[in-house]
Amino acid sequence: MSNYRKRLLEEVRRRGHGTGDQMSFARSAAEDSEARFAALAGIPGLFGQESLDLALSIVEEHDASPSLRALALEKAASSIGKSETLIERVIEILLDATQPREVRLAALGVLQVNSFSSPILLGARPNYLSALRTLVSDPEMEIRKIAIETLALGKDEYVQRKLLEGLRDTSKSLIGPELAITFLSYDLHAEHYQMLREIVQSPPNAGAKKAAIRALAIDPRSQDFLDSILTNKDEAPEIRHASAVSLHRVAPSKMISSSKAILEDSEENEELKVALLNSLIHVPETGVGENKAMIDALGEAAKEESTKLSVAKLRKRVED
Amino acid sequence: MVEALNSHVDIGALLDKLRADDQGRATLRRLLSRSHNLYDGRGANQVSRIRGYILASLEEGGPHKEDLKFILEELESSQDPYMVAAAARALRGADFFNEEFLDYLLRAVANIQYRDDCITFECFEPEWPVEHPTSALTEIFSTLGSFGKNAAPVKAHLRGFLEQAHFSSSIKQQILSIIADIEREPDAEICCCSPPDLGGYMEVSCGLNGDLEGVEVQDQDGATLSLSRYLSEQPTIITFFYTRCDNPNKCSLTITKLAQLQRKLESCGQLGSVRTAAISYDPEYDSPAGLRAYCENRGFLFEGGHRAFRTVSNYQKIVEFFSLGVSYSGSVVSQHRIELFVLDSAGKIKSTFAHLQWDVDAVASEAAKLIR
Repeated sequence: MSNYRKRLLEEVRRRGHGTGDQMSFARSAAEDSEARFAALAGIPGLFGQESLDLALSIVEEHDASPSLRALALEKAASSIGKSETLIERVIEILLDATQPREVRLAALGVLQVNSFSSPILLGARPNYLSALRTLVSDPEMEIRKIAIETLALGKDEYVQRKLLEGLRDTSKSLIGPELAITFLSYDLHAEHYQMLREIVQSPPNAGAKKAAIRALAIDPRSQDFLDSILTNKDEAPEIRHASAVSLHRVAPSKMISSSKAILEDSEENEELKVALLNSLIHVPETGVGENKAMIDALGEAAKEESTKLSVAKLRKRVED
Repeated sequence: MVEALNSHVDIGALLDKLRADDQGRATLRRLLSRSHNLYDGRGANQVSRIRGYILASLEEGGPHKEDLKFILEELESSQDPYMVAAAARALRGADFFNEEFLDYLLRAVANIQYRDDCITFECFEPEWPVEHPTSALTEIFSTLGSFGKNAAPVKAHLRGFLEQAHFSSSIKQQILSIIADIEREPDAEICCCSPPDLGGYMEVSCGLNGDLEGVEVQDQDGATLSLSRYLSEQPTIITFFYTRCDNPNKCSLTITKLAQLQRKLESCGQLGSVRTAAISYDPEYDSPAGLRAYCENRGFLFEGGHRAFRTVSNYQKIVEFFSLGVSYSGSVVSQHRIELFVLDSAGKIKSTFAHLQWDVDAVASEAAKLIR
């Protein structure tokens, strides 16, 4: 923005001509984008039909900068939520792949905000969900991820089907396996537990393995499986600890007994021991006295300096 | 043949083949029971998709009266738009009418109005976007509209919906059309030919499906005991639930009503003569502490013989003895019906209340008959 225009804007504000002049400034296509953006950003809120019309005219101005159009959408969010026609128009913008990414993301944001606050959007919910399902394979990855997560939070059948399909056949995957597993785990009634165990045994990557272990925390039938990972010395300490955390959810006593056995094993990885001890001192099943005894025992047996430092921190935490 | 299938693609193709004619639809009806082994290992969404697809197919050819329990239970209690839409569609195909249908449809509106969804029954597993979408509310109001003048008793409710901001303009248009049909020729006779007896779906049955010998249960305090011994001491009212149920109209309401039933029995001086028990569908997850907290939070009284249980051995015997309407994916419950049983002091099932919400007074009345 030129210095002249900056001074002019400041003058407008200082003189208190207020929102009206800022609106005129924002509306005027003759002004440069930066000036218009600053003017629109400076408007605290859109009140009344005239303000809403201004914002909507900017949204429909296809030659205007995407950031300006996106800002206009955001400013109008609350008013959009009061109109079925405007909500439908925002859905159209979201689905229109020819619209700039920034504008589509702003449209999605407006719909998300109104999904909490707008009774009108409840009436448009079928169209909104249909739009989200259409977007699960959108070329714009950020839009795709938001759509998938929103549907997954609602335990949507279609997105679960697509995520499972992608885990079975990577050529059909919509997002990375770690995210797919995390989104599937939002619904304990999804039929993915056997697949999760298979992923743990043959993971596409380390992140997916860990995500699958975390997701098994709600499946009581996986307790022996999780315990076998926890007690497997060939597994990475991080994976074994993740198994311990999940195991505690479904079989606390098994987790505690296996963890204690690891703590007492002088051949075991010390990094793992510290992590397990950190978990054990936070579970309700172990008392303060027992925690202190375990900390002291590890402190005496520790060979690594880092272990001794960690034990000291744990001791302080328990004493506090 | 259907039991041998385990792939979704096969299921979809088979369902499409069967729903095409009356004979096929007769086969499909057998699959509506949640305990059918077709649903073993399937998650909740898959069970809904299969059962909903079958229900929707009943519109053509019309549902039989024995299908009503599956239709009405979804309208009454489900929060799944796919199932509600399917049930409304199925009901629309009926060649009989009962004024109680109107209440069930209004209840469906109440259950689904804030969680409507875009639905299609044109294929089993659609890809999006779909060409001819519908929604649960659209199907409900289409069914109400199909009743014509018979919908007159709910005209006031319909007018009330027009004032609600969360109904879309297209739904309101449907409602206006229904009201217009009702008001057209206001003096015309309302048809109610051959209304089926809905009867609350109380069945009288005996425990013919094996016995409960060797079934051990653990109660909310961690005490273990023989279930058959527990049941052989007094008449018992048993219902089933699980703490991870996400439909408040089912397990949460069931336990709340069981607590109300206890108070009813207490007011009649019968709380010491009849036991009430709630057994978990999810014995591997529902711990004694979890059972206690869940039931206490809903007003359940743990005194005398009134308890909550999870099974610690031979759970399958319980499933068979009570013919439970439940399906599982691994250890997790996929779907279940509402079910309550009244047993005599010999542990024999004398009454079953299944599918629909049971009435506290009706259950108390059945139990009272068994008190010596």
